[in-house]
Amino acid sequence: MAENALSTPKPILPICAAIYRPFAPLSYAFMRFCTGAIFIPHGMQKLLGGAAADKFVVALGLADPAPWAGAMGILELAGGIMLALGLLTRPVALLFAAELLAMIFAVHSHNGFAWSNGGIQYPLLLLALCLAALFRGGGRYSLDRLIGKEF
Amino acid sequence: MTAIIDETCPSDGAKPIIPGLAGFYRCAGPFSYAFVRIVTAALILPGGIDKLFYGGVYRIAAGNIVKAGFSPPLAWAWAVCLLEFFGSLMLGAGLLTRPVAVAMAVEMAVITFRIHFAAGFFWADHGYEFALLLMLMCIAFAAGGGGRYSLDRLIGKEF
Repeated sequence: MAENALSTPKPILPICAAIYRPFAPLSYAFMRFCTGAIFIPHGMQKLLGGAAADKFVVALGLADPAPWAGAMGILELAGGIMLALGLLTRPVALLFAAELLAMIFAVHSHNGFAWSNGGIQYPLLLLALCLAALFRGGGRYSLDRLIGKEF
Repeated sequence: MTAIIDETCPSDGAKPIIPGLAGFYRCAGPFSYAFVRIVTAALILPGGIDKLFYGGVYRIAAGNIVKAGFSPPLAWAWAVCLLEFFGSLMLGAGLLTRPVAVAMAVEMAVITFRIHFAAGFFWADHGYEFALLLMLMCIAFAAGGGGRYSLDRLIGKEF
């Protein structure tokens, strides 16, 4: 705790401090973990079901989508696990941000805003989370921090 | 009595392998929590605008509110509408962050489990993953509070 000089103000309801004290330091790690974890089913879908399993990969309209779906599947499965654990957080977050930007411009921007129509709403949230991980790195609770080296 | 750690604080060690990037990380890192908070709020706000100004409140009262099993539907529709409009403005500004985040986490949990759960995980099939991720982010904001760049911090009092 000495490594962090700043702390938050006392809560208005002092009793809440007992809840916040253990959980507040976890908030960033929790965000990072959830972001990584939510990619994992997508990676498994692309790797197990092939390019045709993902409607948005199909929507790319590539002549041969299989290698792209394979690469994206590996990124989403392996990268998702790594982001969740905070291993090589920044390089993985950078790759995800690139993938999301490509998908937003190539596919989702044609579908408008609403996520329910395959729009940009959901990929924008994921992009923001990946950029946040790129800025912040693994953070306090991550394998990067445990190893003591990070990009 | 130990203080509550400010996870939005950047001064937590870790020299980067490429030392030249340290300056960028030192500048950008502290903003990442507020950045996610603001983007999350900005992505929920259009839902609130649609419900408040474009009749969406009556649409959900006849649709998703009934589907989720809440009664009376119109009262719940207004609660959702006001939460999504004013709540997302407050979340973005970091005003009463924790109470707003808890309310939104509850809303997103209902959307996840009562509206989209049957359609499965994937958003391409109208599944629950987006609502689930919003719920999890709201839980993170409820834990972390407003953070360094928020009206809560500016005011100096927070729940």
